[in-house]
Amino acid sequence: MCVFCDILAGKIACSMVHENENVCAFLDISPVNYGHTLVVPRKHYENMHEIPEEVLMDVIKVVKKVAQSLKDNLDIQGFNIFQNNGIVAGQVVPHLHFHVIPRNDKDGLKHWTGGRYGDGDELEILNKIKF
Amino acid sequence: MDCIFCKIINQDIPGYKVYENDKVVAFFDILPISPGHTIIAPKNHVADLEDLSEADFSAMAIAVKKIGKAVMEGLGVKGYSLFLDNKSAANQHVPHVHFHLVPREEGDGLERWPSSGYGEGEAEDCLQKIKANL
Repeated sequence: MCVFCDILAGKIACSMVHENENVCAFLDISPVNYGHTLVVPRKHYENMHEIPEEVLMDVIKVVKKVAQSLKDNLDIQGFNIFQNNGIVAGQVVPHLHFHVIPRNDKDGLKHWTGGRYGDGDELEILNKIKF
Repeated sequence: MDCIFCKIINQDIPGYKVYENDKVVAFFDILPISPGHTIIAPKNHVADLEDLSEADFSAMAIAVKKIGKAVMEGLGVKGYSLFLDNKSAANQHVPHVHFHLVPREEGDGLERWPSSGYGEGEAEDCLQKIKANL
């Protein structure tokens, strides 16, 4: 059973922000900041690999609209969009979803920090990925 | 144009390019959160998501799907995180809209942000504000 499928089927209540034929957006019940919204395809796809390109395009359009609405209607200074693929990436619900998280200058959320590649490492990694 | 991403896209400064098509370029972040950390940006210079066309944003998402597959297969990782920071309050450093694709591994120590529940009536209040123009 998938909790998002249950929400979309109306078996579990949610605060629906927006819905259309293929996509739904609802408030995360455990928000990082108020207004934290999840955007999901109605059909169950686990991750970015599984979702067909045309459905992904439908989802991404709603992500953009939700972000605009958060910016226009909440007192915020920015937003983050997050999407995790796989348990190792912190994906908790195995039904593809984008998080749209409102941000304030003083919300204190810490960002992941980067480091530098060692000599030659960057090219070695690139050659494994490039296409 | 004084945008560092535009310079990379135009090859005025070097970058490790992962993928390119007519709308989108993907290249390595020089300060990687994990090896293979890739930036996906539209060729058009647009600072914020609000000003990006749906066509460009869709092209970025389709590119992510392809690059994510290549990263997982090439590096043998079991997942990746994707994020977009919009405005400085959200940690956007380069004002040229972009996704970060970060390969993930078990025990990499990258934590999710803490979250909590809404108080009585707060979710309804929040919902009404957001729904106003959707």
